Amino acid sequence: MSNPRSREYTEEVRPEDLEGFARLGSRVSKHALPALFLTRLRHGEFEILNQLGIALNEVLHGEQEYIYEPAYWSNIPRKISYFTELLSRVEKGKMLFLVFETQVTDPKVEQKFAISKTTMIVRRTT
Amino acid sequence: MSRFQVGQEISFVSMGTITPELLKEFSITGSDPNPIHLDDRAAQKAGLTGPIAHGMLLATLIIARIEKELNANENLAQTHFRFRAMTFLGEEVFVGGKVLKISPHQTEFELVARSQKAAEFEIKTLAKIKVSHP
Repeated sequence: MSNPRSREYTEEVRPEDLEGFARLGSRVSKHALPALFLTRLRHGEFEILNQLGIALNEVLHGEQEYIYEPAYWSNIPRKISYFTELLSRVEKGKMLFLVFETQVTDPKVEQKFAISKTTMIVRRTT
Repeated sequence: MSRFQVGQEISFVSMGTITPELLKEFSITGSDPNPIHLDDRAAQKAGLTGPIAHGMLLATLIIARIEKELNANENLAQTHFRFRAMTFLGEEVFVGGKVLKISPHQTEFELVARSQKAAEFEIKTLAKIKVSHP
């Protein structure tokens, strides 16, 4: 059975989305996205959580990894496309560990931009 | 060639205090609608004593710290964050660490976000960050 996968999302990169990172001290230039801009690209994860019947307030962020392609630092695309796949699901007592992978591309040139790997911890309170 | 040396310290610097305004702003900046970061009742319903900082807010403060050490031609190649403990309102976050490894085109840093509780520091987030350079 294949892993659950989200639909492909496309998001506009708006200047105001970059300003918040700059206010927190992140490096922002006219040529490069802030390093953690990718944290905005969560709709695929939320879609899969919804499919699994998991409420957002049960979820904690366990680990986060980003692997950047060189293009990420030389171009601010107007739009970014991404989809998410659930790579693994492990139960430990009342905790559920979910590992997601999100592939990010610049749709204009169909160039891979980055990969995001997220571990979420679901705390069952009931 | 790296400008850094293995074991070189990245000094701990205060990156600010967690306030309700900061959490509200990061919910927008990070596009994270989870109510446990903003709402007392939602946090308590989730078994917490109050709102907690977003893991990615701590990660953003770590990135802001390491970027202060980098030149314009040094870029992040890979980042890995492990969120170890919750960070609550009023906690002041300090970030620092050291250079872990150097290879011909990459330098790896190990950084920590921590806050002080009484006489001790509590580690909130551990990060390994690989930086590529010419």
